[in-house]
Amino acid sequence: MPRFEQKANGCSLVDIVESLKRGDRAAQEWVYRSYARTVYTIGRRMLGDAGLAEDITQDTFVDVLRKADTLVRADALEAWVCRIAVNHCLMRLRSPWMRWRRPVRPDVELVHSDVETATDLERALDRLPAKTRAVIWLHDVEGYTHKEIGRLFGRTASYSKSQLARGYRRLRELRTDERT
Amino acid sequence: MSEREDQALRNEILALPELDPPPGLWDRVKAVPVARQRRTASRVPLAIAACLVAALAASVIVIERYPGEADTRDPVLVAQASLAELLVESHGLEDRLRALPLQGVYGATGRALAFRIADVDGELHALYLQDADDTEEWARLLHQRVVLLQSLVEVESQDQGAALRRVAF
Repeated sequence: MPRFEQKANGCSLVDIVESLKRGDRAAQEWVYRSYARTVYTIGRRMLGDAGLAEDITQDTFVDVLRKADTLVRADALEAWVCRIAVNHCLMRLRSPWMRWRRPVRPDVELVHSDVETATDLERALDRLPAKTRAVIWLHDVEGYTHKEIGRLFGRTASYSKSQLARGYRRLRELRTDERT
Repeated sequence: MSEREDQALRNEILALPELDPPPGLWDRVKAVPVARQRRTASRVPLAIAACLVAALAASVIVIERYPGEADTRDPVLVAQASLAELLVESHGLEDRLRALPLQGVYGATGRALAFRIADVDGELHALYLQDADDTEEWARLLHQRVVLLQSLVEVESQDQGAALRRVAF
């Protein structure tokens, strides 16, 4: 049995977070195994690129390990990890270099997706402007309010609302185009 | 569009599957606090291969573009080249790459080059985060990216040509 599973057996989240703060390797691995998919998915969906998602996953967990002692409430662990991931995504979205670049790696994940409807939607999401895609993901999946999203982008709640409405409209158009 | 249609779209987005990070990422994460290095362990062989290919391609490119000047091409001249020109050149190469019928995967050399480009992207992003007004470093990295992209386009174009020839015969 992997060490991280042994760690989870019989341990409460409070125990795990305390171990994490002490730098216990098994606790660190448990946290990684528990939230890596969530973090990678946030990166992949918000940034639209597998390479960048890999980078933000690595950067997020490096931060989690280094800053564990700043976590106050154990029950907020998942939300804390996700917030770090979102911050890393936003840093990249704000970077003029990252705004400009385009992915050069063909995305094997999406090409080989088994779920036809998901592929359809995923492809449409990938073709949205980066910030529009990020607003949709933050609002619909991560549960941020328009006010919070506006603040994250240095704008108002109206900016978030208009990006969301525009994003939905564009998603429908892209999916219609692909089907015809 | 109605609120109901928006809600339906929202539900579809919520139902998208989670994706698996690449295997081996945990090993790199746990290595970072000790070694303070980024993505080196698994990519060293690939990076070496990519550098060899890139160096070869760069020498060909320099000779083709600057016949008789290859030995006098000072790195300072590269640094002084317009960043905007490098960006446009890089963008053009990305467009050429996207126009190739790659069918989702690169060959081994292409993958090595793509990983190296991703590393350069990471260095460019780190430079941005440092808020460093280091034009020479920007130019050096962008130049490196252009050379790698040129190699990738050439390698993948040749692979495509070879694949087509295999089909033809």
